[in-house]
Amino acid sequence: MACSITGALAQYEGKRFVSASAGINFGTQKQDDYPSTNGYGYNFNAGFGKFKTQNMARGWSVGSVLAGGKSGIFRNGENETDSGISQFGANVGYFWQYYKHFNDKFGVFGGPNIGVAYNYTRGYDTSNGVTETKNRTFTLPFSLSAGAYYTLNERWWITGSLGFSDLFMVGYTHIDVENLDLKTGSNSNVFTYKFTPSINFPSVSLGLRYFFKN
Amino acid sequence: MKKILLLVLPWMLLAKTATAQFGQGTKHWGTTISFEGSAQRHKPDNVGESKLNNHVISPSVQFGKFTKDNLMLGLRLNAYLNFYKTKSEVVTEYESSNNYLNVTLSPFIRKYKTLSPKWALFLEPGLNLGYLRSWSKSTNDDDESQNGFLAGAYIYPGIVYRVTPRFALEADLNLLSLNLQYASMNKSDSFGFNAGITSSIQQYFGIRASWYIAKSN
Repeated sequence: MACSITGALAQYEGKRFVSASAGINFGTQKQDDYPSTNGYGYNFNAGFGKFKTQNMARGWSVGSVLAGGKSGIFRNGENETDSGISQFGANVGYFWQYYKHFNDKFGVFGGPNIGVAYNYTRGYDTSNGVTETKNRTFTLPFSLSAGAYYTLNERWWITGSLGFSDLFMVGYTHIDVENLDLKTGSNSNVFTYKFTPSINFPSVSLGLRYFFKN
Repeated sequence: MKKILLLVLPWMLLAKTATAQFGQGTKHWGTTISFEGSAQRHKPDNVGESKLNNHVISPSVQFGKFTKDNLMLGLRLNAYLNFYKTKSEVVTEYESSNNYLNVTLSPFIRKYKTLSPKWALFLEPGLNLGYLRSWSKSTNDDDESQNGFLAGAYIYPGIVYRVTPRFALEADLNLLSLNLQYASMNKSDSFGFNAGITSSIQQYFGIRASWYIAKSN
């Protein structure tokens, strides 16, 4: 197909796109004289966006992570196991991205993200009897991020992160600690806040973005 | 209107015209702040509770004037304040607090090199003159406070992005750094020297908002 060399920029307005990552895992282990253990989990992150103008897109991001399994605990002189979920997280966010298209193929983008995230973890400590700790954390982050893209074809972009800034965050954590032997426990409530006008350069992470047919 | 979007702060739009030079007589001021902290309440079953508060705030403000084109003399005031307090009513009542203050005054010289109407680099040698104070209180001990001072010299480069001719964002880069410091508190003295060079861009640096107000003719 013929293309002019000076080429007009591709038209993005109205185009919708998705980028996502997902994984599942499962494993099991059996060792003589010990109970068998296993582990499972999943993680996914997805962003759905739409170009509102040639130079601006916005959209939603969602993500979740889960980990669990059967793990061994040495308790009261015996090897026991514990089964259940050790981590669960979920987050929802909204993002704005502003673009500078250098040419047909290449450009950069950046913008703010807001969101809400929930994370639950459960763990054991056997250093002082057997204690079980449950953490439940809510965070409201406000961050900035920037990236670059390269157009592979009409449907696919390859994207790379250039930098990000965790500008502002408030969080609330509820911690429950229970000593399973003594049947005693405690709970903590922690409120945290942070404002740091700084930029981080991450190690380069690459991704793909798919554009839907309109 | 032609919109050019900045990589890291894209909502800031480029204004119409930009002068590349920082002319003699231009006044400058810049500021930044960061803060963080936590408040925690811990409650064991049936026996009282304890509280822990930790807050850090670090503001910075600087002024300068260009004595020649692209050469500025400046003065920066940095403060770092840390409040830490814990209170326990578990078994026995106990309360303690530790606070720390560091105020540093830095006279400096900046030599600018403009790369484009939007971007400029600078090299900044300067002196650090600091006052340190810590004070603590606790139920079981006497109140205690310490005073100290620090003196040092540094040199590092930085980068400026001019969002508009008057407003810019700048960051200090640690590509090349040299720092000489002497700190003395009532009970301790320390002396440090560090120098480094790297070609890699550091992972983390703070951003300062700054203004350049050209002398009106």
